[in-house]
Amino acid sequence: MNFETLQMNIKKWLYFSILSCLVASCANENDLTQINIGDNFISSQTNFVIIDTFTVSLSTVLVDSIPTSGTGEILVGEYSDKSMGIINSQSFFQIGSPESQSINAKAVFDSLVLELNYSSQYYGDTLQLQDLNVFRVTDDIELNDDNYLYNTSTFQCDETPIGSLQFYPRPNSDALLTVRLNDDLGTKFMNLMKEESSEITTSEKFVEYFKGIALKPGSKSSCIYSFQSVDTLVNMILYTHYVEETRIDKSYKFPLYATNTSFNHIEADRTGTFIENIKTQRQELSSASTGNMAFLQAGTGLVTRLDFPGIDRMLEMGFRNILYRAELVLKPAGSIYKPAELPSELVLYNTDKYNQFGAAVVNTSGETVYADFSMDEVYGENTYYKFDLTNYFINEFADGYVNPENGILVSFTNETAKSTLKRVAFDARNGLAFKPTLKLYYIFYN
Amino acid sequence: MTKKILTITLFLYGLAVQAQNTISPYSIFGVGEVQNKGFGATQNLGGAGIAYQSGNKLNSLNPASYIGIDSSRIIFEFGIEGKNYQLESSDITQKGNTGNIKYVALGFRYNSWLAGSFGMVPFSSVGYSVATQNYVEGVDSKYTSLYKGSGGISQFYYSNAIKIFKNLSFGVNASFMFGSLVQEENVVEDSYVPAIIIKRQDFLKSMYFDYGMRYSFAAGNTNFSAGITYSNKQNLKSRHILAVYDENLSVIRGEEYNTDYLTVPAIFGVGIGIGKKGRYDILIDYNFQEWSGVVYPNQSQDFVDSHSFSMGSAFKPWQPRVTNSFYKNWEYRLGVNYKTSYLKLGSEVIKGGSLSFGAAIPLPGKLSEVNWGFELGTNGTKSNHLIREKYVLFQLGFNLNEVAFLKRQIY
Repeated sequence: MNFETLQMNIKKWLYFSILSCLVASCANENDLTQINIGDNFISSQTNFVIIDTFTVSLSTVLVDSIPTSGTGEILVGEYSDKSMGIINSQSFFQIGSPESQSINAKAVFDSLVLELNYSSQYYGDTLQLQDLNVFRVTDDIELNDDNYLYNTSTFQCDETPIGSLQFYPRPNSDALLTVRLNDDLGTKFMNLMKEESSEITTSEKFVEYFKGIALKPGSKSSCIYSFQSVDTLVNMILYTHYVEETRIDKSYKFPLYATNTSFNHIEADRTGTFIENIKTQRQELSSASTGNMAFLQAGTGLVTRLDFPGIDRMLEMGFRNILYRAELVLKPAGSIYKPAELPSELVLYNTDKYNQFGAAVVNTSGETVYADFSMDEVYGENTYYKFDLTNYFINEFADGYVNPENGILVSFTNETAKSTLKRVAFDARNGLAFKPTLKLYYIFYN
Repeated sequence: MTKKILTITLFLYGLAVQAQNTISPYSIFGVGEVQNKGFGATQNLGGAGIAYQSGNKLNSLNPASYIGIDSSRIIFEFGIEGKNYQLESSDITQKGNTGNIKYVALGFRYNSWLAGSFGMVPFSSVGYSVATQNYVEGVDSKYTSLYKGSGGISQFYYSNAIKIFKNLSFGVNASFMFGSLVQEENVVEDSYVPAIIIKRQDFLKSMYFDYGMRYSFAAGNTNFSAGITYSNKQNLKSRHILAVYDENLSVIRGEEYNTDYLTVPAIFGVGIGIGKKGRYDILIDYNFQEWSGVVYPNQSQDFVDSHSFSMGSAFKPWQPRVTNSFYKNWEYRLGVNYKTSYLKLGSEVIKGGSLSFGAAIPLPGKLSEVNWGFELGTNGTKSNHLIREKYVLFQLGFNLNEVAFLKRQIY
């Protein structure tokens, strides 16, 4: 057979076919509307599974110390909390010298007062009469090396107060609280001004002379109340007058010296509570030993630790799955606090076996994860805190190993932890309606 | 040179096949909707033709038939197809058109006992758009997946027929399967599931073999013939690409591996024919596909064996003469087909049938013909949440004969 001719012919036809290919292929794909078909028509190669059978164990950790300085809040008082024990707060701050010091030589002393502006926080029963004592601090109030003062920090004071007051706190209706201070002290300040003594001309010198003020609750105390620690809103005021043709009143304001040295010393007497044995940061108390609850309180340093024992079994699921969502839900314990009393601003921190604070838990965009607080004011049953732990678990599982010593600390936002006494007890009972739940959302595909 | 052209043709044909759109939700399984690979001569016979002989045209239904090619010619076959379809579910009707190249082939004879053909024909085709709902495990909520499928498998075949005895021939068809199957699953976002896209693709590169035998004898003016075709169960090799995309269409997971999960079941066909040269042919075929036992990952129920019956006749009502009016020289064709498919959904086996008719118009001065025809078909049912498809196929084909070996007289 003649191969050349065959080749020629083949070529000819193939050219034709190529040309035809180019023109012939067409289809209108624009109307591919979905056509629905019976559910059991195709067996899906994709499965979405929500797994919520994990154990979430809760425990309570006492943080050794938390900074309470420079928060803008003066917390004073004592009250007995339903689950946290007796909470006592004393507040320390420094006062500077008056801005205007020109004083008439004939000036006569009238009074010396401490004027405070209420802040919005209060805890306990404000309907009772409260004892408030004002003490003169005798130690230099100095910041620690890290520029903070802590809930555990304290400074020596005179034994006798320079002022005392019995009053009904009215944080919602009154703006001001005024405490009359010792007349001798007031007279001394006036004389220093008349003498133009260096001890009073500058604030720096004045705080060496008059080292500061401590506000402490007296024997009658049923609540903790708060004042704003801002330099224009905390004043010691010296009232004087002199007589020339008429009587002329003149007052001198001694403002807050510094906001960063204003701090609260907070103590808790936990005797008789579930957490009376809590002592050191390294020794957490499991919820099983604390009435099936775990506790969290700002100011006193109680935080809740979360562990997920057995979570590493998720590593055995092989590949072709994607964890696309992880949700943690914590419920406040029963009826201890009314929903309205509960804090909303919770955040999470990574932690190790020593319960130390690590980096904040972040979401997939690298932003801090905040609690999604849902409040059920009517029944309280659907009050819960929900956290997005998607990124946390993706990272936990990423290297194929889960360190069982690592956990999460539930705490407040930095601001709230330092400046408030907000608290919550989490339910750790093993019932569907109460227990802490971790839900992992998986897609399995093939 | 020929090699280059072949490569280019293969490539272009491949592109053309990618675009082909079978619009049928029933093509969601495995290789998709398996196409009848017949050329113009048998298309309008209801797909019957296992016993048909190749002559001035090629019969690709049975590789043993190529032995009938005249030794002095090369035959070129080329066909295109247009489809107008309508899909009906209990609540929706959807219409559309597709069009495509159907086949390209060459046939020739080497000597008195060996003949062959090569070319490209579609093997299967995929095209669907289906929504389904499934439960999210762990909650009482269903999510929706939108499946979209496209692509198809083409075969480049090389076929040889050998004459064993005077009336008995045997043929082997070796094919290289290529093309791609694409499935895109769009998960509709709700409060439990994210917007996610899972794309499953198969790029085929696989060999496939099928075989045929044909026997014929004449009794007076009447020719009797019989044929069988067979291909064993074969797994097509493909490169599987599995990718997961997030809502921004960035790949979050991807893998690629070789696999051979695309099973083509054993296929057995038998056909008989009666005819009188130049006047009529009657052909009857039965095809059996052993789908029971074939398993695809997305099937929800076991497949059942598929059966197909087809019958057709080609005839010339008038004695061909140059002086005839044009239509009197045409060859007319009629065919019917009935099949039960491998899909049993619920209690319903998907069944379909078609009627076809057409004609071959001889081109002047040659033995070449232009074939045209229509096929009207239906498949499936509207009941039981299923879908019925109705379609009209328009087919246009050429079988062109070229005198091949002019230099023969030198020998």
